[in-house]
Amino acid sequence: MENAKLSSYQFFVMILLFEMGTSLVISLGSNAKQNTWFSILLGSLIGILFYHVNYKIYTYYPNELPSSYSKKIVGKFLGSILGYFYIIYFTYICARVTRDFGELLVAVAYTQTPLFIVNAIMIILCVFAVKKGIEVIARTAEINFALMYLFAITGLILILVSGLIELENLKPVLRNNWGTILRVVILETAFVPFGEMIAFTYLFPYLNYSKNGRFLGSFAILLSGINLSITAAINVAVLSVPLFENTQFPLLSTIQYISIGNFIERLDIFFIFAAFIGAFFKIVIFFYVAVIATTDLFHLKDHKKIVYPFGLIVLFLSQTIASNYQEHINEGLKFVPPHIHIPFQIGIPVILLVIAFLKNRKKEKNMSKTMKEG
Amino acid sequence: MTKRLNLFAFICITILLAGCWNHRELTDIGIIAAVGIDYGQDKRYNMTFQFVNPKNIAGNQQTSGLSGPAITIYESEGDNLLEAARAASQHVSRQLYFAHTNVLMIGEEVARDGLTDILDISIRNPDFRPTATIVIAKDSTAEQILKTLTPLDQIPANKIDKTLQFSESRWGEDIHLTVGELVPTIYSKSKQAVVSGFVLKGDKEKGKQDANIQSSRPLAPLNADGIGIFKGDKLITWAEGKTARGINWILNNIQSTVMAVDWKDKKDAFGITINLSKSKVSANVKNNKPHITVHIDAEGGITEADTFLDLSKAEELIKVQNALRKEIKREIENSIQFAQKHKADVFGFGEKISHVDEDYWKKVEDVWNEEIFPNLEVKVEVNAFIRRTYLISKPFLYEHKGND
Repeated sequence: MENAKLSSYQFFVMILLFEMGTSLVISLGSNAKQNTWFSILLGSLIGILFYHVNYKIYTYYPNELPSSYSKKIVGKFLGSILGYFYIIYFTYICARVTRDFGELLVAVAYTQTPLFIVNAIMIILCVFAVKKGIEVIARTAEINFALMYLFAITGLILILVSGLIELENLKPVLRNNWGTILRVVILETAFVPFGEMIAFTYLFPYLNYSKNGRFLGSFAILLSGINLSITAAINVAVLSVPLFENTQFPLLSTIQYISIGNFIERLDIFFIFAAFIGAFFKIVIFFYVAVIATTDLFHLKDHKKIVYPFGLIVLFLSQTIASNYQEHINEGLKFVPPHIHIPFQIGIPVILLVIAFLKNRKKEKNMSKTMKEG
Repeated sequence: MTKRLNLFAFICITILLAGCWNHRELTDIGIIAAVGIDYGQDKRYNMTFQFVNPKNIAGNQQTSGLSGPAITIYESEGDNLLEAARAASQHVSRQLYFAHTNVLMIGEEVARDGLTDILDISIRNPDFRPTATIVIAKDSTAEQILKTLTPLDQIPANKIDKTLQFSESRWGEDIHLTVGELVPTIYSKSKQAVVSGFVLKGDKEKGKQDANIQSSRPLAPLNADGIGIFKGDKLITWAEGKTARGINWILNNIQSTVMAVDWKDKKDAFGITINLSKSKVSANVKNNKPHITVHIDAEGGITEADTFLDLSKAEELIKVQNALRKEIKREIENSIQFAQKHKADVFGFGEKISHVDEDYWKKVEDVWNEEIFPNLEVKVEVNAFIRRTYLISKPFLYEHKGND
C-alpha cells in the first residue's frame, strides 16, 4: 500500500468514470430490449447493496486492504489463498476490458491497425499512470470527468435538437416480460459494471474522510446507474429495438445518426472520446488494484517494481483470451458472470462479512465482559 | 542526462501519438457523393459511384469556362456488394471513401427483388453513414440517374438530397428518408416501409454531357416522383401525387403544403397554404376487433381565391374551411384505401395496435397485412382551420368580373 490520500470528490469521480467506463459504449443488457434502461437502474440498486456488504467488512478492519483483513478473518493460509485469487481475478478482468477497448477501436476507427498495437499503447499509458501512483490517477480523473460530462451534455443536446428521439420505440413499457428483465439484471447488469465496484475495496484506505465512503459510493453508483440508464433509453429511442439489439456499439450508431442542417454530423469522435476516457479509468483502476494487492500480499516494499511485469501479463492475456470478438463477448456475457463474477463479487464478500460479524460480536462481548468484571 | 533522455522519449512518443498507422492521404481517397445499385449481367450487382471531382468544384468563377464536370462516374460489377465496391479499384486511381456519401440510389429492379443485401452492408460498414438518403430510381436504373448532370447543384447527389428535403416539407408528396430510418421498418410486421422515387425524363444520353447544364432548360431533368410502397424488403407499387400526400399526412411528415378546394361548380377555386399540420393515430381493440382513428390538425390561410365569395365575413370563411376539411379527409381516405388494396400497412397502424393490446397483436401479427389490415375500419377526423386571408380580404376583382 502506498502512502497517499484521496479527497471525497476524487473518490466520487473515480467511481463514476469507472462505472460508466466501457459500459457506456458496449451494448449493456440489451437483451431486455426496450426495458434495458430499467434493468440497468435495477442493476445499480443491487450494486449498491454489494457495495454496502464490502463497506461493512471494511468498518470492522479500518485502514486495511482486503488482502490483509481476509487473513484475519479466515486465517492466514485461507486468507492468503483468497488474496491470491483476487489478484488473478483483477488481472483477468483488466485484460478483458483492454480487449473490449481494443476491439472497439479496431472495428470502428483503426481498421488497418493490429489489435496488439492498440492494446499495447493503452497498456503503456496505464503502466505509466500506475507507476505514478493513485493520487495522479485521481487527479487525471478529476480533469477527465469534467471533459466527459461536457461531451455527454453536448451530445445529448445535439441528439435532442436533431429530433431523433422516437419515444414510441420505448413502448410498451415494462409489460409482460418481467422474467427477461430480471434475468438480465441478475446475469448481466448487476455484475457488469456495478458489481465490479469490488475493486474499490482496495481503495477505501486511501480515503481521507473514510466516514464518507458509504454515502459517496452509494451515491456515485446510483448516479452512474442513472447516466447509463438514460443513455440506454436514448439509444433505444433513436435506433429502435431490432437495431439496438444487434448493433455492437449502440452509442456509436446513435451518434452517427446525428445530422443538424447537413452541417453538424459525423461526430464519431464523441464516441471515441467517451470510449477512451472510460476504458482508461476502468483498465487503470483494475491494474492498480491488482498491483497493490500483490504488493500487500507478498509484503513488497514498493509497488513500482512489479508494474512492468503486470503490464506484460495484461497485454498478453488481452491478446490470448479469445480468438475473435464474438467469442470474447460471449464469454463476457454468458460464462464470466455466473462462474466468476458471482463468487468473487458477492459470494466471498458475504461469507467474509458473516464470519467477521460473528468474530467481532464475540470480541465485543468479551470486551464488555472484562469491562464489567473490571 | 535524464533531461536528454526525457527529450528523446518525448520525441519518440510524439511520433507514436500522431496515429499515422491508419492514415489516408487526401490525395489518395476518392470521395463518393452517391452510390447507385443495379443489376448487371446474370443478376450480379452493378454499382455506380459518383465521385466528387474537387478540382472542378472550387475556383470555377476565376478560371475561364468549365474545366469539366464536378463529378466523375465509375462503375463496377460483382457477385455481392463488397466485391463490386472493391472491384472498382481496377478503375479508380484512389481508395473509395464512403463517409461523405449522401445518396444511396437503388434501381427499381433491385428494389423489387429486395433491399436486405444492401441494407446489411450499409449499416455494418463503419465508413458508410446511416444519414445517407435512400432513393429509388423509378422506371430506370440508378446508373442512368447518377450519370445525369444537374445545373443548379454542381454535385447531382446534393440535388437529389435537397430536392427530397424541400419537396417533403413544402409540397408533401415525397419522403426524405435516411438509411437509418428505413432499417427498423424493413422487417417490421406492424409497419411497412415507404421510400421516395426519382425519375429521369427527356434525353438520357444528353443528360450525361455538359450540354445538360449549359442549356437553360435541362435536356434531361431529374424529378422526385412518387413514393414506393414496400412489403417486407420488396418494392410492390408506387403511390403518386395526392395518394402519396395522403400517406405523408398520416405519417406526420407534412410541415407545409398547398390544398386546392372546389367551390360550387368551379374546380380548385381556392388555394390554401397549410402552415401547420400534425397527425395523431390512436388505436383500440374492442371485442377482438381493432379500430383506428386518425386525427389531423391543420392550420393555414387562403393564398389564392379564383372565385367570388365575401371572405371578409367569418361565416363564409367557415364554409371554405369545411370544404377544406372534406378535401383533406378525402385525400387521406383515398390513400388508406390504396394501401389497403395493396395489403401494405405503411401507416404503422399495426404498431399502434401492438402498443395498446399486446395479446391481441400476438395473435394477429402474422396475418395482419394479409387479412386484418385490408378490412380495417379507419376513422379519419380532420380539424383544419383557415386563420387568415393574407393581404386582401374580399376577392374584389372577381366581384367586378362577376358583374360583367
